[in-house]
Amino acid sequence: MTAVRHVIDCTTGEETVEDFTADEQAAADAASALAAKDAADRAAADDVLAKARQVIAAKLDPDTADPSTDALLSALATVVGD
Amino acid sequence: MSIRPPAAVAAAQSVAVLADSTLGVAAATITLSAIPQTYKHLRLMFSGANSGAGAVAELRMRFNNDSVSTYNSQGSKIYSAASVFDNGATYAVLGYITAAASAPRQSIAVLDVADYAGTTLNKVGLTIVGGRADAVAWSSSTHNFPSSVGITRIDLFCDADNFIAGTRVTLLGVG
Repeated sequence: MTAVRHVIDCTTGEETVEDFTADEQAAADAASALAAKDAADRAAADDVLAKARQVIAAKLDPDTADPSTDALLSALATVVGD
Repeated sequence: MSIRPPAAVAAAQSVAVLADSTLGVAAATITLSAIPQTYKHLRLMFSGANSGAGAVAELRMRFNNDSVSTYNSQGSKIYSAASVFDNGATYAVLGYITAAASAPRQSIAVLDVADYAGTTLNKVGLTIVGGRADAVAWSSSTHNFPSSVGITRIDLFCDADNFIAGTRVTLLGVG
């Protein structure tokens, strides 16, 4: 979908909505893709942290936590692989 | 007994609404153009949010549609911990506003530009942004624009996606 610019003329008070040019649209699409990748990377990092906390908890209290070191290593490999 | 300024001072002081607009549909950029050069200072007030899927978005700004000069933005923000940002890019970083993941929460920003019509000194913007309480709650920043030309246009945009419908921008001319 084409992005738009909302323009307010501060002298006349006139308001207009203009479509982005092709170049502006390409830049906007690239920025959106980058933002989506950042969000995905952040979610993956959060997942690794959660697994790390699980492993640490398991070391501290082996009876109640899941000592899933393999899960942590797997998650780390995924992130590093990216 | 009340203390009032002298009549001549009171008459010289004024605040004018140069623009006040609420988006009917989402827009990627909000442009305030043809800003009169007849006031002493500008104050821009923003209320709104970003449409992106994340929790926050970076609120950016350019003066005079200048996408070549480097705007040096420096500021501090309260996130999960206090931190600073130091950004040199072809836009100014005003701060961080709430995005769709935390909708319909509102973020507000106030940008002041003193002596915006002057032609001697380079321009500086000063911004405070407040918003979502469990992510970036507050930031303050300054933006140095390497030009002494009067400000006739301000563009607001984000690092990605749109300002949502309902976002409101008001521009005041002071003095």
